Amino acid sequence: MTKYILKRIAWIFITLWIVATITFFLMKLLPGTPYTNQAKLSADQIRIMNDQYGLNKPLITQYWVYIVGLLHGDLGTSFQFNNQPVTYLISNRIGPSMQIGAQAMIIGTFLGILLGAIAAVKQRTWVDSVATFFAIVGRSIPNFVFAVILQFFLAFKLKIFPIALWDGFSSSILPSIALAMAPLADTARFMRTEMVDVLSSDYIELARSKGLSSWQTVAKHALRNSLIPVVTIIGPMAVALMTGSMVIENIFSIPGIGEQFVKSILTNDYPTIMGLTILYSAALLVIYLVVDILYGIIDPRIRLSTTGGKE
Amino acid sequence: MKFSKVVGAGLVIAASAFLLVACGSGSSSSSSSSSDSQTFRRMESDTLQTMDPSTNTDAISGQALIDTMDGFYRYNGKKLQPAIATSIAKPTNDGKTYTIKLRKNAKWSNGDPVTAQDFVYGWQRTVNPKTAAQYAYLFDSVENAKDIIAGKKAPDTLGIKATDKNTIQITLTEAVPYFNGLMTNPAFFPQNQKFVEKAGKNYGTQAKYALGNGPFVLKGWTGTNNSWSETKNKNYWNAKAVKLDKVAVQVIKDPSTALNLFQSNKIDDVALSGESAQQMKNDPAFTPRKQSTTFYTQLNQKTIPAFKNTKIRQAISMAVNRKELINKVLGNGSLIANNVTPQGIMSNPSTGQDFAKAAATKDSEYTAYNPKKAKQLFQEGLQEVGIKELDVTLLGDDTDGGKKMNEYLQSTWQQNLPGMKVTLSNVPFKTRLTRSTNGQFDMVTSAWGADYPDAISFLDLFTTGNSYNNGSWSNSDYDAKIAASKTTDVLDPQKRWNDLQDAQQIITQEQGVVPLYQRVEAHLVNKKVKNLQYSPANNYNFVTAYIK
Amino acid sequence: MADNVKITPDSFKPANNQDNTQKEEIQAPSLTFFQDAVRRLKQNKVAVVAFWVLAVMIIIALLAPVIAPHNPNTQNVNYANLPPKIGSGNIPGFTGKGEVAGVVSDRYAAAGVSKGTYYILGTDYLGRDLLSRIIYGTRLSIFVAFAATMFDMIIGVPYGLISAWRGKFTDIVMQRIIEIISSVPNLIVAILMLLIFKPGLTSIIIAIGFTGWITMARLIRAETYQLESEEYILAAQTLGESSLKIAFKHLIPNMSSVIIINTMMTIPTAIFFEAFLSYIGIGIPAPNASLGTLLSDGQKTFRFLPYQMWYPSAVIVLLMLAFNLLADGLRDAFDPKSSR
Repeated sequence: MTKYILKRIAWIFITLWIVATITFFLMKLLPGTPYTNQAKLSADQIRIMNDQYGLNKPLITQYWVYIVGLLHGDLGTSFQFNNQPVTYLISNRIGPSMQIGAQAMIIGTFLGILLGAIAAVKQRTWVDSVATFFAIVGRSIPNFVFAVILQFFLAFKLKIFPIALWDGFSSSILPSIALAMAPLADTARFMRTEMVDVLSSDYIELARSKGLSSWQTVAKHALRNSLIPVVTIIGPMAVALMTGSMVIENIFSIPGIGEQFVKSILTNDYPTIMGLTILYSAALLVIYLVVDILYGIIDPRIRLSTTGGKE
Repeated sequence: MKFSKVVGAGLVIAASAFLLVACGSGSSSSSSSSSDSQTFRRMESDTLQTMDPSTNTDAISGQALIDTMDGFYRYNGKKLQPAIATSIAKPTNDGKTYTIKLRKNAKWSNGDPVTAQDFVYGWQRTVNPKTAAQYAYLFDSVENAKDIIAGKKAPDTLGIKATDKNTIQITLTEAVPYFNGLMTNPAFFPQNQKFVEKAGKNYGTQAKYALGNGPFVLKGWTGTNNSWSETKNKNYWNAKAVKLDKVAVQVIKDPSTALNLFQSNKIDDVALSGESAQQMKNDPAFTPRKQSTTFYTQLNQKTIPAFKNTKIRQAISMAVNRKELINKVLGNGSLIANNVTPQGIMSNPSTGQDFAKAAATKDSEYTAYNPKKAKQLFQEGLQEVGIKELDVTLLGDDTDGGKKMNEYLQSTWQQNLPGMKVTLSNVPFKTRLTRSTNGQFDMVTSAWGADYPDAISFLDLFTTGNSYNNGSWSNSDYDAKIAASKTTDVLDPQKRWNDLQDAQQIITQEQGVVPLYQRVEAHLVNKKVKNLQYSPANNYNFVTAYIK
Repeated sequence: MADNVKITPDSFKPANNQDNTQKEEIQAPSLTFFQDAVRRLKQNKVAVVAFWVLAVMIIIALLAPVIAPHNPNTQNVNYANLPPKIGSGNIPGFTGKGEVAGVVSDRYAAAGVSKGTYYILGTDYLGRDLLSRIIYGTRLSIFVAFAATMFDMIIGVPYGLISAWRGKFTDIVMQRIIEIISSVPNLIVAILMLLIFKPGLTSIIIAIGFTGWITMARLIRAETYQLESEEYILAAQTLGESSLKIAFKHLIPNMSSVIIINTMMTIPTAIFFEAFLSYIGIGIPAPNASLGTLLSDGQKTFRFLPYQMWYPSAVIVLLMLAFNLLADGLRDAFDPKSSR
């Protein structure tokens, strides 16, 4: 097991290097210069500026400089924010995004698993229908629509929550709920399907016939065995949520990383794009590893049959 | 059965806890937002990028620099007033030498005196190629600036000298009639050498690495956050004139969020766009802010030879109902642009008449909506060129406003000009600029904002061979008039005015570019905020503002 | 759904009725697996309703040029932002009255619309008929959704199957490739596509397809690993069945619920990615509409013109409900395990 994990960690670094390389060259294909003031710079001025920033050096030299910096933990300085180190920029803005993402994740998966499990246990009753209906509606409406509805009714009309701005826990509730809708619906749908399959399997029948109550059966056997596909989708979902949502951050004026990323792409802030991409993939790769390990913990059969094969 | 009951109870508890927490914190935050004090709460549409006056490029950082720093002069409304300088300088030596006296009581917010050397250092730092200042080109007319920017001469050869502790002498290579106005740009502000060198690479990246000499001091800016404040500077030379204690700034990117916050009295000044602006037009708080920015369409004569035909260009202009575009599509109260030069940036030296308005009295027929004439001119033009159809792509911004405008233009041209087919291509801002510069477009809607309040800031763009003349329109009379305004007539304001007016007539008659509208930003401003001044450079001046 | 609890005679039939009918020729005509599934689907009333709703929506979308009351791109800015109205405006919710700057008035009269002219769902900011735009928008969104589903099926399913079935080195390499692809943010991919292929539907579909199949592949891989150790797979292997046959006969049918559920998530994900691109301004090029662009436009004017957001939202909800309920029915019909 340890050997397997170490191997995977080595792979993570190799993968990160490949991703950094691909992104580096893809990014150079983005048209335009990184200068905010591009509209008013003449070709000569742009050439002088490029000299200053080393952007006129051969691509391979720029790449080498970047990778060497990366190995020293230096992500370079942002073009958009003059002289602002990218690491500082990211570490300052990641907090709010992660908080909202984590809260959304907790709300989404907890309620999702619950809703899915109830729907499965109460299969083909009105409870199931209502749960299914909510899950589908939750999944059918984009979060930017949810965000404005929540903001307008709960904050502007009823004044229960702050409208926007990043000011304490209360201001993080609405964005978290808006962000949680899709994961909630996804988790619930997956959970229900899996649970229905599991509940009809022999060992559940056996557990029931042994006299376990339906609650005990669900908690002891069904829940655990239904979690495998759910864990698969939860991993990447968590990364997507915690690396920020531009839409939610814009609507609720949250100083997060999501809107920064979109803006960096649109303004050709190469070092920031690179930094955020690497952060994103690192998080994703770690989550993938954790998910693969979790498979083994949740379902012992997988550990026996597959990780053995992999080692 | 038991299962669902347990879960149900859990849900109820969780939900009520949630609401309790929310209510508790909700009420505490609303109490702190009363506007009784002299605090002005406003929004910006984006974050601060730098507080280094040399490398600043964007309007938001520019506003914060103007609030926290003082240059030679300061705009109060449209009026240029002396700030660190004791009076508005009159150039000598055929308009090439400026001698500026500084006031002796000016101080930095850390208590250091503001000296002539601070200006010399600031200017040299901006043109120094190592600083990589994107606005360095504003110094082009200062002696040796071009060579310094290109790395051919040392920064200390720049045409600015401190003749004593409180006197500056500036030498230009050519007379620049608008130079005093130009120097209100933060790039021309003084910089405290000791502080800048101590901060090193960090200079201007956070509130603690920024030093000002202006009416307010920047607080609470970590370099990346969405809110900051500007508090009154006790060391400001004119501190007793400053009435506001604090300007609190919040970044809000979504226009409907801005409106919701304004209507809940969480903020005193918001900018609106699109439908919000249209709907709030009759609100007593509605305040239009006229900007020195014109939107226009450039027609690329290199990719579409038919655009060399004047009649076709005129037809394209006359087919646009600008009033409808502004009222129905943009809805923000923008002004019809009869000329590429916007209103409010230059006035007649003898009569005081506005440049754009004066020009419009003579040439407005070329931008007036006249579908019949447009159709006729278009048909004649097509015949002269020898083609039956005109199939073009219209390049534009992917912003909300940009998209709406292009959709409208596409439909209106196709409707009013039979034989014209327009395809849309809306791309991100930087892509649009690159394609414009490289001539990869047929038609493009672009905008230009004044760098300094003078018509030449716009008219210069469309001279033959200018790198912003993306449509490659060329007219030798026009070039001659612009050249005359810069050389032979530069010292005679009236002759220079006439030259520029003539040039404006030529380009409007020929529709070298098709002017569309002058941008007005729709704001909602709390009625309690009084005496808020707005400059031709699109900046607020908070020195005189107060809350009643 | 409640009436499905009823135990029907089918519940007690042996699973392989095909063989039975051959043996004891008393029963109804022989049914293939597919016919049987269709028969079971028909008994699920909810699924049947969902099927018809979906069918009607797809037919309307396909016949958009015939059905739409107006050209979706014809502008009349004088008629901009008119609220919904039917006939002479007597039906509540379709009265043609709206609020501008705090005053409720008949917007049709204010805009000088001639009597008898009305827009059932109102008009947008350029005076285009919203109903027609929704119809055309649905068509475009369904197309995007189907394209994304194709990527899921054609790339995602085989990829996951092969990865898990072959295992060992193949699995490692294939999983690393997935990790690399999913690590490159798809917004970068989307923007590059828009620059290489010009903004448009093709670029958006390719950008969606580029990363869209990854979740499917990962899910299928996980499921395959789980099923691999089942007795019937082992039995099939022992009997010498080819891997391809095992995949089609045993693995895929047993994974159909996961496939269907994930597809149901791919569809909104695709529609939303397109909506997100519209939100940041690089979606379907103007003046064409998709449900995404309509929602993103409607969201901006929600405070004042709520109908511009509610109607596209209602359409997308209906579409998704129909998709999902039909999918549930299909799963019950096809999946041998869940058919009870």
